[in-house]
Parts: sequence; C-alpha cells; structure tokens
Amino acid sequence: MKEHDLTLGEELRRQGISRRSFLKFCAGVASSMAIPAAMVPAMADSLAQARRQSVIMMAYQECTGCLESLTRSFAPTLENLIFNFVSLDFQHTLQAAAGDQAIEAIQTAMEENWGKYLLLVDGSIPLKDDGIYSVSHGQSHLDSLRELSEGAAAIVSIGTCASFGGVGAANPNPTGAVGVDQIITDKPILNVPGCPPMPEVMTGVLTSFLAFGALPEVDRLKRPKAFFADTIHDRCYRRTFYDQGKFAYSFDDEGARKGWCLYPLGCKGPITHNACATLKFNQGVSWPIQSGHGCIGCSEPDFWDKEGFYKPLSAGQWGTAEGIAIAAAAGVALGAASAVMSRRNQDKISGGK
Amino acid sequence: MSLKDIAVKLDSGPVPGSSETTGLAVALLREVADHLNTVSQGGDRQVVELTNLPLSDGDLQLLEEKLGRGEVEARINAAGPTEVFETAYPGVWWVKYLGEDDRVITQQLEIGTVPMILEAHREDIQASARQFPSTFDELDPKQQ
Amino acid sequence: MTLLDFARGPAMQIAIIIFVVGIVWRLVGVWALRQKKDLSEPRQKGAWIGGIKGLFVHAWPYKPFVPKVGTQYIVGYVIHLGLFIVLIFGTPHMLFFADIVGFTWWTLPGGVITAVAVITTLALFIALIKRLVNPVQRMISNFDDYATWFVTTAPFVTGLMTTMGMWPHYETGLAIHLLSVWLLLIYFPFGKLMHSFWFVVSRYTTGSRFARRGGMA
Repeated sequence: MKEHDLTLGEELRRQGISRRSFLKFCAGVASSMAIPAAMVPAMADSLAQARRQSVIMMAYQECTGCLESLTRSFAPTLENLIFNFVSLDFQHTLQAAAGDQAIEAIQTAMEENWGKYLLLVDGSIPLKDDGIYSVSHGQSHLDSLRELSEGAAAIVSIGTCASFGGVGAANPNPTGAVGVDQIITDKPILNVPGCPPMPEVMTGVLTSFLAFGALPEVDRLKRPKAFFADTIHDRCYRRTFYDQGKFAYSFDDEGARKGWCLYPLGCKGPITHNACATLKFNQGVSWPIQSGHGCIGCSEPDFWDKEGFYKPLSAGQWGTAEGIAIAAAAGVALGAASAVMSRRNQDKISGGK
Repeated sequence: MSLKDIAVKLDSGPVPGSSETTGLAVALLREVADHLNTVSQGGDRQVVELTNLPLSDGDLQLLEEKLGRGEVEARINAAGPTEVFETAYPGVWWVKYLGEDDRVITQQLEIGTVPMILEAHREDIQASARQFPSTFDELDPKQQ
Repeated sequence: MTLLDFARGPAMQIAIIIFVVGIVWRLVGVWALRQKKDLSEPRQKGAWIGGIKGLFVHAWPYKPFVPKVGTQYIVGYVIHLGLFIVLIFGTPHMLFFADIVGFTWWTLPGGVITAVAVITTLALFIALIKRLVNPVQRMISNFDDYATWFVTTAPFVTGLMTTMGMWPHYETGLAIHLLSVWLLLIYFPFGKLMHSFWFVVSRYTTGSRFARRGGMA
C-alpha cells in the first residue's frame, strides 16, 4: 500500500505512536487556539482519519528567519508529530537535493498532488521589472508563485514578508516587493505574519487544515483569529502597570528595572495583533516585553515605516517640521494683510481723522 | 572598566505570580460543580481548560487546595509525559500535559469516569488484537 | 497607509499647519489694528492694576447674580479643568507633547484620567442641554456655539470609547480619536474656541479701561 493511502492514524500506529499521542497533540493545539477542550477527542478522531498532507514550502525574498522559528517550537516531542502529519515535499533549505534534482522534486510533488497540496510561502515577491530582483533556477519568484499556486489547495503566507511585503517592501521598496495575497487572488490564502512568526500558529493552522479540512477563521488581514484576535497590550502581563500609570521612560530607569509598562519607550503593543504575549518564543522562555523591550509590531503591515520603534504610539509622525515655520510665516502675512485692510476701513469710518 | 563592573540583575520574569486570587477560581469551582451534576446523572465527560484562562498563581493554589488529592495518580508516556491525578472528589481529574522538561503545556480538569488520555483507545486495542498472536505463535512447536 | 498612519502623520501635519496659520493670522490681525485713542484724562493712576484685577474679578460672577448663573460657572469650570487635566496629565497625551518639547512630566493613572474625562463629558452634555432648554440662551446661540461644542466633545467621547475598548479595533479607535482632535485644531482659530487666547486680553483690556475711568478701584 502506498504511503498516501493510509490514514494518519494507521500510519502512525505502525510507527508505534498511539492514539493517546494524538489526543495530547490535539489538547495542546486546542489550548493554543482556544478551541473548547470538549472538542479535543473529535479533533483527534478526524486528524487520525486524515491523509498525509503534501506540503510545498517556497522561499522567496526572505532571510530564513521564519524557518528558524518554525523548527524551534515550544514542545519538541509534541511539535515533531506535525512532521509525521505532513509530507514536506519541497523546502530548499531542509532538503538534501539541490539544483536540477530539487526542481524535479517540486515538479513531481505538483503533479502527484495537483489541486491538493498546501503551498507555504516564506518571503516577499518583487514585482518591479517583471520580478527580476528575485530569481531561482532561472525562474523569477513571481512566475514561480503563479505556477505553484495554480495547483494548490490553499496558500499559507509565513512571516510578515510573505503576508504583507515585509522588510523587502520597506520604504523606498526598491524591488517593488509585495505579499502573496497581492498577486494571487483566486485561492484561499492565510497569513501568519510575525518577524519571525510563532511556530505554534503554524502547527495550529496545519492541524486545523488536516482535522477540519479547511483553513481556520481569519480577520480582515487574513490572519487566523484564534491567534491574532487580541492585541499584545490586551494580553500583556505588564498591562496592570499601564492602567496604574507606572511607566519606564528610559531603558535603565527605575520603571524599566521594576518591569513597568514600556508605552513611553515606543511599545506598539496596543495596535499589534499577535499571540506571543501568551505563547512566548523559544520554547516558552521569553518574549520581547518580558526581555524589557517594547513590542515593535512585527505582525502588522509596514511596521518598520512608522517613524521609529522608540517613538510613543501617541506621538505624531512629523516628517519634517518645516511646514510649521512656513505656516507661522503665512499666518503673519495674512494677519498683516487683514490688519492693513481693517485700518483702511477704520480710516474710512473715522473720515481720515 | 571590566565586565565585572557591570551590575547584573536577574529579573524574576512575569508578575502573574501574584498570590492574590482573581475570583476566577471560584467561578471555575462552580463550573466543576455543574459538570459533576451532569456527569453524575449519566452525562458525557466534561472538560475545563485551565491554560487559556488568566489564572494567577493564587487562583491555581486555591483550586489545588479546594480540590485536594484522591486515590489515583498516573504518569503517561505518549508524545512526552502527561500527569493525571484524581482529586479528592471522585470523578474530578486533574490532567497536566507536559513537555519533555516537565513544563506544563496545557492543563485541564476532566469530569468523568476516567480521563481520555488514560483510556486505551479502540483503534489501539484493535491493533494489539491483530499483533498479539505473534507473541506465542513462534513459541508453538506445532506451527513450525 | 492605514487610517492610523494617516491620522498620526499627514492629517496631524495639515491640522497643525492650519491651526498655526489661523492663530497667527488672527492674533496679528487684531493686534495690528489701530488702537482707539482715549483723549480723556485718566481718573486714577495705574490703569494696569485694574487690568490685572479684571482677570480675577471676572473669574466668578458678581454676588447678586450667583443664584442665577452660578451653576453655569461651575459647569464651565468642570469642563475647563477636566480638559486641562486630561490633556496635560494623561500619559499618552503627555508623551505627544514630550515628543515636541523634549521633556516628560508626572502623569496620573489611567483610571483617574478616565474618571475625569467621564465627568467632563457629562458637564459638556449638561452645558448643551442648558443651552437648548433655556430660551434666552437658545436664542443667542448660533452655528458657531454648536460647532464649538461638537469639536470639543468629540475628542472626549472618542477618547473614552478607545480607552474602554468600544471600537471593533483599538487602532481604528485611536485613529478616530486623533482625527477628532485634528478637527478641533482646524476649527479652533476660526470660531469661539479662540476665547482661550482672547479671554486674558479682553479681561485685561476691560479692566484697565474701567480703571482709567475710575472704576475697578
């Protein structure tokens, strides 16, 4: 029997992985996605009934940080299971094959799973000059994405670059970089932004795709609501200090040492939707605010183009302040002009006396 | 100036470790009471997720205090360790799904006859039914 | 560009430019007017003392009028003090100014600011109701009065809604709050809000003129 014909349950039992592991895995995923715990057995059941999912992961204009994050998840024993659930048919950094062999691997995976494979994209795609600024194996990433998305069941954009254009699209965006959903419009697309994105989100998305046969519910930026519904500020353990008016005003003052709110130091927590306040990074070790640095808003579009990470959210973006000086000068001129007119009027009324 | 001149201060980390209770613990206990009624009248197993809730350490302590320890304790090895114990109230189970370093990944209160992670599942039993004869087949001289 | 980026950037710049042009225009325009010559001999020396006195005397109604207009004054003080406290001692507000002036100052906890803002908003609504119910006040009110009330109340309402998380998205709420403040700034120089510049000048002028004629002693 071919590997793809077995259900995940059958296949994993052959490897000595029991149904209990499925249950535990689903309990972990359900907890991180706020799925009611009562649904866990049903979820484990349908996951066991699912077939191994073919996954093609493409790296475009990117830094491999997303992959680094995804392979360092919060509970290795549990997360490793996900690699049993999917057949990662192409990932150029992880696979042994290179050159023509690697390209053949993509072609084979595409042909065998046409219409069924999940396409994961990491990195932005340049549009300028026909996408010539990002090319692999003689093919522009723009063409590669168009070709691969045609046979995909769904696309998951991993990281802020693939989701919204990322650092490649930062002002002045020399390569005309954009995110996947600005190019592909006829496929279900899910964004998992973050710089880097959280591995638990990836696990949750893959699991619910396998167990429920569909991508999870998303917000207006196509991010899974289960992880991106709340802001960092809403879930921050330093939130009480914000409410009490206890703030850090420099990175080495009393407030900073006592772990008070970092709002004055430019924390973008209130406008950033992500799950790291509760799930944390590096196997639950820490996350930016716990390490004493404000949120930089890495899961939001254009987060680097907001006049600095250290400018408080309530402060204005001035650009150049020249306009104000010109405005003052214009005001003086207008005022003088209207005074002259008024004086003439005064003279007229008083008859020149 | 050398490295020694730079004072190092270890931050004890997040503050949710406050010993104050938030009232959530009491709400949870009420929920458990409801579930116990359901299950005692023959209803399905009920699960209360603890990890998602903003419980303080004080809340968890209060829960542990009120629920107590019962007759059963078990440690399961499937995709890493899992700890299960029955509370002082039969039918109320505390299930802790752990990572390799015994860090809690998620924990739940289960109300039912036996926690689902503890049961042997039908599919696994079917597999062992198929495989089991091989344990004595090779010992049986007639078969050879 | 998101709505918030627009509100924090271009919208703010345009609003402040209009605000500065308008304020300078009106201040210069009035101060450059020909002063009325008073040819009479002053009845007493030191008209300026009367001017200073005028600043304070008019801060509270003449005693016989207290029963009639006292409430109005109290409501007025609540609104103005509330506005001042929220604007200067709300941390996010202080940080906006700190970004311009380069130093920070002591602020109040968010809960206190919220409470003050609620009281101020209530006072603003009481002021509006009084204006609508009292026939004389209604008769002397024009578009400017209602527009002034609206642009003053809007930042309070939007700010409170943002703090209390009543918008579907905090970032949208924050953007709307900022835009409502920019609306206030744009309207400011051209309506009755200019009284925040003129009240000192006009009270001093009235006081000193009265003093010259022998009043305000």
